[in-house]
Amino acid sequence: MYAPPHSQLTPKRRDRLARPVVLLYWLLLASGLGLYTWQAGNTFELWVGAIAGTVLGHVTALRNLRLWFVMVLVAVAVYVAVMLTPHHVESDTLCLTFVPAVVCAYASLSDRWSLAAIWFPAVIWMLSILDRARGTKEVDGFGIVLLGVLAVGFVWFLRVRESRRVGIWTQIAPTPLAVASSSAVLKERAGTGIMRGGWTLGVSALTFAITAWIAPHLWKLETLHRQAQQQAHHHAPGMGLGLPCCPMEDLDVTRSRVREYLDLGRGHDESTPVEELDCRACPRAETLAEARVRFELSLSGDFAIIGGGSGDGYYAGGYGGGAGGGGAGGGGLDDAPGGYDTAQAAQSTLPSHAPPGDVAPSYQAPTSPPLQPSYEDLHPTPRPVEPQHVTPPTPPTPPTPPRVTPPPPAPLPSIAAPPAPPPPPIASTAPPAAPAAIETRPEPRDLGGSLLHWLAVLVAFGVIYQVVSLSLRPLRRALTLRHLRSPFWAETVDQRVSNSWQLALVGLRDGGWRVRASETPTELARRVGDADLERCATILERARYGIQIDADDLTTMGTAAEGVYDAARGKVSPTARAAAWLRWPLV
Amino acid sequence: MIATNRAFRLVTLIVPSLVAGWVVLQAQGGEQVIRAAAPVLVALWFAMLGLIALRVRDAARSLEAGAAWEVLDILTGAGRATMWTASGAILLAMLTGWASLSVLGVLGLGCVYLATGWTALVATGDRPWRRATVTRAILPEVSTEGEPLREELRLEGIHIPAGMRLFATGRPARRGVVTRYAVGAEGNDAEVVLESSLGPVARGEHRAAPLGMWFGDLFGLTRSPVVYRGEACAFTVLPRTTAVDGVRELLGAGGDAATSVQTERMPTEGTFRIREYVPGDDMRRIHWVRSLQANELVVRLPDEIPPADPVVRLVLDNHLWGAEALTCLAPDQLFDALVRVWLGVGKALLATGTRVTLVTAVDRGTGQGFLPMERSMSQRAPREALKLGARAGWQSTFALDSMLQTGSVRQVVVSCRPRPIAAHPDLVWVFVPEATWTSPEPWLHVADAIKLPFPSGSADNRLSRRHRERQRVETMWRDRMMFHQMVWWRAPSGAYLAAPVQGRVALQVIP
Repeated sequence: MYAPPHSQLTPKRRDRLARPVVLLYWLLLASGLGLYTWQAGNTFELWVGAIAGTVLGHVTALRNLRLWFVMVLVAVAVYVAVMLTPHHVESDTLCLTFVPAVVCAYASLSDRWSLAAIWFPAVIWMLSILDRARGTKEVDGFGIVLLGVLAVGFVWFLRVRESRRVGIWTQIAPTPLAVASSSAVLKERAGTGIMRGGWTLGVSALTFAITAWIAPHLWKLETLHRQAQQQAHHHAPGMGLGLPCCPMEDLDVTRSRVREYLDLGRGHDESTPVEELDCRACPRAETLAEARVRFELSLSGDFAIIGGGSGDGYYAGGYGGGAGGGGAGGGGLDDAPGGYDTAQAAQSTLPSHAPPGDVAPSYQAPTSPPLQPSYEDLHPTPRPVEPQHVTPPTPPTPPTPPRVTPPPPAPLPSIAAPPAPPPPPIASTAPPAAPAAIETRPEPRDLGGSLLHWLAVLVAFGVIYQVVSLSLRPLRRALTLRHLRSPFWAETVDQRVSNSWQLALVGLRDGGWRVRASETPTELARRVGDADLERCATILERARYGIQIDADDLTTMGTAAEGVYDAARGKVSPTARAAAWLRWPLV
Repeated sequence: MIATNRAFRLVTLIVPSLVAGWVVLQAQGGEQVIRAAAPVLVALWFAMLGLIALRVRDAARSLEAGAAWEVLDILTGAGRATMWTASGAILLAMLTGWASLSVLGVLGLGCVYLATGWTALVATGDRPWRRATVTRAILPEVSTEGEPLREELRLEGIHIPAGMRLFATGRPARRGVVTRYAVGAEGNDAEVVLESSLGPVARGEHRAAPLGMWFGDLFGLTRSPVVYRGEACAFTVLPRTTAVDGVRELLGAGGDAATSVQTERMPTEGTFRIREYVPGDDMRRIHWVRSLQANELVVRLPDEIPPADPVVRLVLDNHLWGAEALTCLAPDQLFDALVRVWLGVGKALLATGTRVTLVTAVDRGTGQGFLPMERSMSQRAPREALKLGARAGWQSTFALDSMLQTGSVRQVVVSCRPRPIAAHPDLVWVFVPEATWTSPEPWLHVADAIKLPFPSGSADNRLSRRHRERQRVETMWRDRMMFHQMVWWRAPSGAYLAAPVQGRVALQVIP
């Protein structure tokens, strides 16, 4: 129960006041979303939730709806969204995005909650910033830039919000308000614009510095434990066939990242180094009997299981490329320290397979050629092992071996002493392996460099444009003044009188005098109190009203205008005079 | 209540920062945080407090009561909210580990520290006002009730620091509109002219109170103490007279041809007014010459004078104890009506040839308060009567008895509460009823359950302000009820009731 407000705030005026706030908010939000989308790929739910929520929040705020009613709308919308969301859309992400988007957008147009309002755009920006951190608290250069842009955006957000608040304050109150009809600066202090610009830059820089310095120290890393890594341990089969097979063993992989509201951030994996032991990579963690049968089958050629064909091979020696990917243990990446290259891994782990150019086993099937595929067919590229492959499948029933007298076991190709220099498949000495199956999200693209490059180009372009524009202003001014003093082309007497008046006005503007729209030349001259200006005003009004101009009026006008110009500029500091050369428009 | 709010605002300068600092110290990896982050926040906080302390010391030396508290009261509502929100964000960041909250907390605290320190450094104290000249004028200085007025404010030499905005507000007339201005840094040491349209202002001799002026930062987080400038601004709104019908009845019986008393004049004197004969006229008054000329009967009207006294004291009863302190609108509305009727009756009586003397108690501005004043009303100088009407107002000093005159002079009293006065049984009362001449106070509207009372973003939506506004309206209504009791009347039979009829005032006798 309150008295009705006395408002001069028409809906049009209200929207005009809210426009900068809404636009800046959307700019922050959209740029954050776009940045993260460019960096992380598919963010459909994020976009839908953010846009729908922000639209709802702004519309309800501009309709002056109360917060409780907005929350009811949000609850209904969330319920409907959960019920109607297609299966392929993650409703959790959608709702987790939608709700704060509504609340923060609503708060952006409310009275005091500017800091709370900026939280949702900050969350979106932090996704991109934290992606750069790779699971640490250290932000790279591009992340720092993003953090700075966010801080400056917040400062500008505060500023436009305050401008809107001031506009509302002057136009609405519980008691009747006077209608502000006009405001005019009659005389200003020269060089004020420089101070204002410097203050804005200073505040932005300070905010940026403080945020970039302090905020990362307050971040908290979170660790995610996942069982997906296969690790060798000392499990000697006692076969006397060289190093023991590396058995399947789940390893806790620690994935760390900076915690954030939206569970969309990617992290950085770490695994605990284990004690040093030697093993060889085998196709699955097979038992001795399985290995023997497998070997015999390979000799018979009827069932040629080549390691890696099933994709169950594993190897823990590589880094970053997904250990165990590729049945032949070709999980190592070339750039991983201590890792195998694919060919070497295949050579060392497949007893029945000879890489191209190697010596084939002595036994050949008499009737049919061995069904061994080529090396390239078997190992096109290392690929990650799916998690379900951790559990070894039931081995196939071996077919009846052919009735051939088996020769004494030929010496198996040694896998413990590979001919090539690559390091042995020692799992324990290898660096921590990358998860093969714990994370399907793409790693962050290395777009920081390219984006930074383009941003730098854009900024440089903008700076150059501004510099060129500013540097051309004195030239433009000099040409204009030259024309006002002495026209480049023939002009009428009236026009030359007007030119001289303009010259005087330019000088007055340099000195801080401003002309009101409704002010006549005589009134201006009276206000300024300059005799030369009064002379100019008299001649100008005579010219304007068609009264005859004397022969020497034009000369008098030019001289007096020049005097006004010099006198006005002579009263200001050299800095202000120099700054006046950069001002445009001149009057 | 005010002290509690101020205490809360002062607490906001300290407690959120302490909470944030404690949270930071409790954070995991606290050593790193302490080494890198805490010194910056602590340094900013101490710098802010140090600057405020300096200003408090300066204010305490100024010997102005409460000046030091004003300096300490530097945070606006948005600044306090930002401070607490930032502190809460850091606390939540430590609990949840969400990086965005920590960024938000640092941003918020950093901005408030910077803004507060800057405001204390450049906008507090008398430095911005040293060369300031604030000239205020309400134009036109003399106007008539109902005409629009405008306020012209001229600011010169006010140092508006970079990053600050100058705010000014005031109320030129009691119960008039409020003017609000905001000037950006373009007005720094400049000559600025601001204008506002005040619209029609109530009758009276007004003296505009000084404008309250202060600085606020561009982020709306802080403000400087309020100073009051722009005084010595007086303007007058003259009352607008109303045509009054039926004033001749105030003069007693007579006044028409049927009951007039013929003058004793020589045969050649007189006005010789004539009119058509109507049945019943005295045949002896037929003007035969004119009748022959007009070819119809024409009668002469006798020269006459009204039976009323030639001099009337027209008294405005403005004695009502405590009326000037009431917050409702009705007392002013009713008094404006009283003045309009008072002057209208006087003007109408004057038109009938009666000499009218206006009597009321006014404040002459000599510091002696209200004193009775009599002024003859003249058709040649109506402005004097209007000025007297502009100066009149409710007063508690002089009762009606002290303004009345004993003797045979006819006295007409214009009042809102006619009552029998034993010492003056022959008074003629013109009663201006409160219920007819006042409008209801602002209604207490039922708040919309769904929509905010003010546009979103307006500070007037705050619960505290809404509560304050509600209290204001309720007080007005309480005062209205009290005023209604105060103007209780018991009009004697034969008093005249002033009723508005189509823009005029009709005097109707109370049977």
